[in-house]
Amino acid sequence: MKILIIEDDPRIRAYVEKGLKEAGHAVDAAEDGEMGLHLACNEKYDVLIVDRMLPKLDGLSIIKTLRGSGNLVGVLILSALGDVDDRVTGLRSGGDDYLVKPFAFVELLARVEALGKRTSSSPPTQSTLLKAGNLEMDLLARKVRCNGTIIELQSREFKLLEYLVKFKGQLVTRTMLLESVWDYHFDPQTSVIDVHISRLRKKLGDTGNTLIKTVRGAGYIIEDSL
Amino acid sequence: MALLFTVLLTLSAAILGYFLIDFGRRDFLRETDAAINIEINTLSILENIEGQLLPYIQQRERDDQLVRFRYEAESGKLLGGSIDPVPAKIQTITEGILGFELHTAQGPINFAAKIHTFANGSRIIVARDVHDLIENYEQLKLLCWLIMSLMLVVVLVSFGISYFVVSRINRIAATAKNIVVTSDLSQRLVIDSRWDDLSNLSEVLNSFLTKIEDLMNGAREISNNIAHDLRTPLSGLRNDIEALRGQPVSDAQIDRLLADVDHTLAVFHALLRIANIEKGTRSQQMGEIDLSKIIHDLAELYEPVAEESRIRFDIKINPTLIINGDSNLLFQMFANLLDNAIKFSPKNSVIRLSAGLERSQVVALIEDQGPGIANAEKEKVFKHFYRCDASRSTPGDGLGLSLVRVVAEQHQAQITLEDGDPGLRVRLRFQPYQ
Repeated sequence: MKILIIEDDPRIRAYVEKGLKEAGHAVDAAEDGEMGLHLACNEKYDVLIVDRMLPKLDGLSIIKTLRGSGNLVGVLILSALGDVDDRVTGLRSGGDDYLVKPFAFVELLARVEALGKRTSSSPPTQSTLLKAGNLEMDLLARKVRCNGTIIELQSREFKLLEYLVKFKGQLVTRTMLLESVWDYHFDPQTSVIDVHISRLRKKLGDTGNTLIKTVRGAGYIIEDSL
Repeated sequence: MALLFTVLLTLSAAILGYFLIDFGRRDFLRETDAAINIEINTLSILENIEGQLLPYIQQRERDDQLVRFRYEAESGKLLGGSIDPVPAKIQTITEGILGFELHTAQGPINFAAKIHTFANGSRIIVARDVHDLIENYEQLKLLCWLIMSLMLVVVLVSFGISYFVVSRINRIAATAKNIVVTSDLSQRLVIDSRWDDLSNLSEVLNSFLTKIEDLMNGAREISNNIAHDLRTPLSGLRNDIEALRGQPVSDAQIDRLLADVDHTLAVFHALLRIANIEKGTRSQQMGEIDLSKIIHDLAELYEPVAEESRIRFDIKINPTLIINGDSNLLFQMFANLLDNAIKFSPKNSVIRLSAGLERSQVVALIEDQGPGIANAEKEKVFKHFYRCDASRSTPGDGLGLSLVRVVAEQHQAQITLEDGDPGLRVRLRFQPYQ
């Protein structure tokens, strides 16, 4: 993927740039809003990572300008402003996702990759049948088949599995699951998501954690190769 | 200021008094003058008619005790009237009007008089008894002095009051200034009486100071706690990093260090969040929400966690419970409460979640069968970083219930901790939805 990062803090910029390059992405970096907007308009990127508070031109203005000119590139807003209100204004200005500083790099990477996938494999071809190895999901009939046998899942478990399969081959963090499957923004004090995943594994007969793999300190992944 | 006010008031009282006395005097003179002039007019007419003047004078003196005459020839020889002899002491009251005493049946009495000279050289003195008028005038004068002295009393009293008020205000200002200069919030305004408005004001200001002092102490306590609470993990982290010097570092070690840092960051995050909610800046997310859905979602999210400790949920919730609120915050609040309930529940126990309407108010209850909270600690558990003795060994940062309280306050919900049988019962009473 080709990614542009617009961030004025040189430490964060270098750290994110290095990490994304190591993950195999092509990365451009801009240190202020004007330069960032110039690059975003003239090059084609899969994902933009935009800081909110930037010299010369603030992040939200960049996003509004891009959206105003019909640019639909996936935008992840990176900001120290972490209130729900800030998040709402960020997303209303045209951002696709919002990550609050300080952040873990795995969280950023997972979100950037999910965003790249969402925007590249976008709408028309969206299939109602998802597959991962021996697992088949029919989104219309809301049925799950694993190794040929139909598995009964509760609706929340179905949504959880659907999200993981949709982004197969990609790391999905616990916060991403909480936000998209449960639709609440909150900090669970205990590892509630882990318990739900282990329940799901049990139902799927995934005893050796071969289907849904745990990535230590980060989240979960369903391998693409399956 | 007070002095200027006093001087002005005194001056106006004096001017008023002077004019009253002066007007009274003029009025008395005018009245006397007019009465005498009438007499003189009549006499002038009668003087022209031969033999009419003397009988008229006798008649008039008989009829009216207040009038006396002396009709004399040019030489001064008495022709008629009862003023005889001419009084020895004659004073001029004002131009044309004379004053003297005459002996009457009631003793000597003051008369005012005018002298009129006829064409043939004869003169007549017309005198009028002004005893009553003078008495009235004296009464008026007395009244004026009374008014003036009353005004003087008023002036003195108001000077006293303004002096009292100004000195009080200056004292309040001095104390306030002293507090600003020394930053010592323990100072209070002196209150030495109870009856006046300024003491009342001082009392209000004192309670205001107490409130500020409490808040400042609270803030100080919180920052002390933060310093203390964060020093422990940070120094642990420091030791761990130091121990890694010169050694190959494994991922597991990095993960442990990261977990320590994340814990510290999480405490800061929680503190900022509490502060933000306290500020009330998030109120724009408030809207009509269904509490019943929130609790159901929450129960569904936590049910597998509870099941791991073989804890069962007993859920009794009305199908729809509409309140005005922020669903993310309320979810967080109930999550913290439920998380606590699970943490402190013994194995094989039941956590009861119920919500319903009580007198048009939405009331939610979370009941566990854990150890409960002692009465002495019920208020303290909401403080930042407070951990009960029972909870020291459990994971947590002492901020969970602080967050619960600020969220409840923002929703104007009443939160009470009650003794269950056994365990803790948390009762949340929400405002009726409008």
